[in-house]
Amino acid sequence: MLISRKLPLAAALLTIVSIGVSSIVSLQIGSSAVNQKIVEKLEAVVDGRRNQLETFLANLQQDLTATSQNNLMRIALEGFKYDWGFLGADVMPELKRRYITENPFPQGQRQNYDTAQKPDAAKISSYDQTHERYHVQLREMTESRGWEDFFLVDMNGNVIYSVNKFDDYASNLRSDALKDTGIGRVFEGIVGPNETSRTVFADYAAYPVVDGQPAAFMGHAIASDMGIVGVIIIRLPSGKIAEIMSNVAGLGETGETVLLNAEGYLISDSIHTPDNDMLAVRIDSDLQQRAVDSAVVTGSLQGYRDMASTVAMTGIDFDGARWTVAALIDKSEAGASMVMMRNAILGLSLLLLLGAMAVSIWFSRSMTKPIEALVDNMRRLAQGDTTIELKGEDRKDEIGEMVRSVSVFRDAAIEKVELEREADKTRSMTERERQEREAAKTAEAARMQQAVDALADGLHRLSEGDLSVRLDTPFMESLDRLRLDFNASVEKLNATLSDVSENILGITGDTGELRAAADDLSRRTEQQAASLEQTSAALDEITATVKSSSQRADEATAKVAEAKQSTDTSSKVVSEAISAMGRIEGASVEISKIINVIDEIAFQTNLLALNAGVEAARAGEAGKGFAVVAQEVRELAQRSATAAKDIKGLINKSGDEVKSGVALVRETGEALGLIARHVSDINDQINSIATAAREQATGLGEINSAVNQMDQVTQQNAAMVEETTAVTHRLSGGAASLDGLVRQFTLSGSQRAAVSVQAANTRPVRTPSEPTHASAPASPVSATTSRSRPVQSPARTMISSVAKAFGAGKSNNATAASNDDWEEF
Amino acid sequence: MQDNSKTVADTGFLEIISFHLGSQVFCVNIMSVREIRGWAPSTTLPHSPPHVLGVINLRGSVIPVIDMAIRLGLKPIEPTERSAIIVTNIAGKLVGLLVENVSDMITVNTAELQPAPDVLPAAERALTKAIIPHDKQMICYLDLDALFSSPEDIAA
Repeated sequence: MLISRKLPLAAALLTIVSIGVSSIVSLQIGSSAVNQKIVEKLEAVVDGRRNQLETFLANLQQDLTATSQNNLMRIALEGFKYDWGFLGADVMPELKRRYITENPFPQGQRQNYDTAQKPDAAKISSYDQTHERYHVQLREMTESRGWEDFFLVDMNGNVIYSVNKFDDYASNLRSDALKDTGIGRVFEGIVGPNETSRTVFADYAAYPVVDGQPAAFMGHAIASDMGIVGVIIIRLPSGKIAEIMSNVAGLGETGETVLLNAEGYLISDSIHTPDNDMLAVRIDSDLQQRAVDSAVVTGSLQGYRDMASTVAMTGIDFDGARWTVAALIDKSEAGASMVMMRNAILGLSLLLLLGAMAVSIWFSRSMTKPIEALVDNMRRLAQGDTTIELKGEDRKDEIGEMVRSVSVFRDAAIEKVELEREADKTRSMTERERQEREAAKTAEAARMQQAVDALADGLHRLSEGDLSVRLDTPFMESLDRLRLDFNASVEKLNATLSDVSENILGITGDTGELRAAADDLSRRTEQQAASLEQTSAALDEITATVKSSSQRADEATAKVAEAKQSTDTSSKVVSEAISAMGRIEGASVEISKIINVIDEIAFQTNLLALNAGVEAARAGEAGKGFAVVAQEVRELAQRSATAAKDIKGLINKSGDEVKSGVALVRETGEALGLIARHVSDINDQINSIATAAREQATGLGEINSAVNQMDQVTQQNAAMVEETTAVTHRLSGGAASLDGLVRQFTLSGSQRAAVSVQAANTRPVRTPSEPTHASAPASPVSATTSRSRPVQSPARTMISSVAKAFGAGKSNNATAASNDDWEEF
Repeated sequence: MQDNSKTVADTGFLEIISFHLGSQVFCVNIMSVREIRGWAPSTTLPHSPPHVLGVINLRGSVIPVIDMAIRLGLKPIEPTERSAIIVTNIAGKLVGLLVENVSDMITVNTAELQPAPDVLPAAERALTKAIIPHDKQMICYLDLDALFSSPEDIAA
């Protein structure tokens, strides 16, 4: 596949994979976090509702207990009891007639009818008087506490007084109609076991008196020294419970809290349905079985309000009634934010993907276009076209490098063509020179042949028997001179050849030694090169180690910096904690002051109530009601004083706790400071390690370059040793061939010895031949030799001495041969 | 006072105000109480008997304050912010009684009143009109007229 397609494709794939994975992961994390949040919220709501309910019910119990111990209740009960008995056998229909049938107010407002006593009536009923005396007070009490109804019941179960006057007023709680209702069960629950010390409760159940609406009842005995004298019963304020349960703050549009009884029926009306759900709608879920005591359970619920919902439940045990508080929210609402988040992430991913693909296509286009042009140019250059034009040589990137490299190739190709042309020219010139030299050589050989012929003639004449003559009696001076010259020549030749032989022996020995030395040198240089290579490798390893340790030190520094930052943050937190503790202390002092004020107010209220009581007592009968109120106020004041004292104790205790907390936090701060100091110490150490490692790295770099230089020098040495070896070998070969030449002159050792002996013998004769020696440099052979070899060398010195020995061009045959050898050498 | 006794006899009920002196509980008839005040420093009078603490200003009228503990022969009271002065009307004169604290207003049946035991001299016995057993406590019902029968007691 082409790079121009590969690049954008790879970029797109990478983007898709990275965005896809991150989107899926973030979606999953977000989803679980949202679900967790909803469940936690539901748990918190359900817990809060349960606490509110428990507080509410406890208050209710406390109120009822306090009311039952109020003297007013006893007095009122006794009054009503007395008047009830006075009305005789028809008391129930009579009272129903007076306060229900003839009540000018409709059902539900009958409490506004203060008395049935007509101002102009001739007969005064004591019940109506008692009713008039207590009703307003009791009605206000009932209304202020939110009770739905308030009953006074005598020991026979007669409802002798009711605030709201429903049909249960002036009825008997042991009658068939009422004995199985909640109120009947409360009455029996108190009177049956003679229960005086606590309230008795009847759970919500359909109550026929209020048209089958659900009602719950709570009652308490009114006791005197003689035991129970009557019972007060209240109908529980379902409005307050509804108020608590209908608070849907934080539960969204579909969320709500409901209260269930033990069978799972709702005993609070759902605010999301138009009908009254109390005891009508049932939530059937096994979660309720697990939501006992204060445990909060969560789960899913199907069917309620035709939706699938997430629900949290917890139980309330109240005086035998096992209720369950449930908070629920529609799952689709809970999931709505998830859908929004998913859509946002998908949209964003798509945008990112499109952007990434556009950028990658543009980028790859800008890269592949010059490459294609370059590839075309390279193909043409490979086919030998050097006229190509190269664009983009001034680019700074790798493509610029490539273009420049191709231009180097093109220039090299042009240069090569020119070089080949010059080489052809040079070759033809050399050929011509060689032909000229060969012609000159042929002419010279002809001249030499003449000279050799003349010498051969001379030698032939000498060998034909003129030897003795020559030896005994001299002939013509010119012949003698020839003989002398011949003798001298033979003698000289003999001496020279023996010298040459000795010298060749010496040279052969020297070149042997030289070759051995060169071989040794070569071997050692190789060893040195190998050692250097090992050193270089070891150095590379050390450099890598030092680098990695430097890197580790840097990483450690980073970690230490992080640790330092963490400790700094912690110290800040500690100081904030200390100041927060200080604020708590200040707040405690403030609270103590306020509590003192409350205590003072309670004391003053107590005094005022006492004074009110005194005034009421002085007012006699007229002040009785007032006395009750004063008594209530006193009790309230005393309760406030007790509560203030409790709070004061708690505040003192919390102050102590705060003090110890401050000490602990301060210790923590000191410990953190110590850690911070240690951390910065560690940081210094690591920094110095890092510096040392960097210096080591620099040193190693220098060593490395030094080793590289040594390596180069060794390589040059090795090359030079090779050259030296080659030269030595050639020298040795030269000596051998020279030896061969000399052997052509002296065929046998005895002959050579003879020559040596002869040379030794003829040494005294050498002195007269000195002049010949002096004339030698003028000879053409010597001139030729010195021209061809301008540099001094031992072999050449030898050859020149041979040439001298031959004198004026004699025995040129051998010399020519030796010259040819030298030429090749 | 006679009128009050009559009322008691008629109704059968007696309303009293009880207060603490040390660990003991005493009470007076509510009808003789005019007012109950928090403790305030009193102005000492020269050469007054030990149980007369001094005088205080009650809305313009100067009334004496008696330390009931000393008057009844108990250890003197250390007045605190929670101490109270019961302003009583004794023989037409207002007198402040310093008590440790006022505990309660109680309605008792006259039938529950029991005479003080017959072991004290007549003068001392006259101080205690009756003993009222109430809530496991014995409340000593004081006769204020007898307490300050002599004019000097009040005037001083």
